Amino acid sequence: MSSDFYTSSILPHSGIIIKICRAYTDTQEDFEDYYQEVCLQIWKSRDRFRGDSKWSTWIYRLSLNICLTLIKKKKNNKQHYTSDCKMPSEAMEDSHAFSDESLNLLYDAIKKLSEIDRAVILLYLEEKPNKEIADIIGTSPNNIGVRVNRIKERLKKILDGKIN
Amino acid sequence: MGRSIESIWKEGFLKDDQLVVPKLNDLYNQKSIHIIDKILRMGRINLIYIVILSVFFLVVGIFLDVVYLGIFLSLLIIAHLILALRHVKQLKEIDKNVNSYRYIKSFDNWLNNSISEFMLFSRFFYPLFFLSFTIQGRFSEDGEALISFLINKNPDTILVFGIPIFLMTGVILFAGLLAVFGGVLYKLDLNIVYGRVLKKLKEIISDMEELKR
Repeated sequence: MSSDFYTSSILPHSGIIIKICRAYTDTQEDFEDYYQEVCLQIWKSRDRFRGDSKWSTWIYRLSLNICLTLIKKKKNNKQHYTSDCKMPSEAMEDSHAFSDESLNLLYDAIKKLSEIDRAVILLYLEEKPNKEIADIIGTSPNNIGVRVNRIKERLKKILDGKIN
Repeated sequence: MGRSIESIWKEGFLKDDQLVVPKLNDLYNQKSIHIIDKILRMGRINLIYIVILSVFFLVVGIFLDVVYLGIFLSLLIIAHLILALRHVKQLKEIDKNVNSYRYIKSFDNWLNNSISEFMLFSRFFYPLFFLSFTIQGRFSEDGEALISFLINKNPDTILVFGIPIFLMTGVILFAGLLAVFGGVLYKLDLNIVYGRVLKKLKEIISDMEELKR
């Protein structure tokens, strides 16, 4: 990957890649692996970008798909799983955390959601319109509206449970 | 809870230090280690199968009262095993204390070298494998019956070592074909077992080379 491509086409969107990768990983090491893999796959798939959506939307979609695939792979790969013997809660105690405590709690709550719900709420929090979320996830916009409300309720419950 | 999740998200990410971009270094390190480990793991399993197969042929040979055939096939497979172990020894000599690109390239060179040696070996292995069965068949009761039948049907045929020349020619021709295409047969066999990982290895090397540009 040329550094030009990385600097001009990936780095401006690194924020969302980081946010997505954080939501699907428990350790700093995994997070860095996922981030690298996403960047690499964006670079490798760049010729497949047809321009019928925004570049940023395409990056969202790709990042989500790659993280979901990596999670599935990790689940299937028992050997990898046993070598990564830290429990999620323990792993989260290490350097894999934001300096903002509320944000950490929110991320912990997001990680308790299903993989698809995580994707939906991340896109919602990034203020993506329902139509775009539906397009990325592959469902109807109406379904997204209902789903977001349900997820928000669930997150509130989890966060209230933690704070109180 | 006072703040909405939207405001936690928005305000949380307003701080500069929240989105520290990880460094993209040694991008393919893990990938190359993973793929090499996978190939080696498959190779180890293959070696175990070879040992089992060699014992199997010997035992079945004794059990079916075709001891010489059993011993010969077992030795043929042991020769394969010895060649494989020689290559494993060479693999251990590859310097691991280099960057991932150089290591994966050395591994690829070792692999290509092993494949070409096994292709050469297969040009002997397949014909010998076939001939051992044919020779055993020649001395079996059914083999004798078949040869008698063929001689009766073609009384004018020339006999070579008591075998009709057309049958002998057919056997030699087929063994010759196996010698010529033994390497290709080995490659086909290799692709069935290792095709996917070998393709992945090539892809990683080509990506690494593109990254280096």
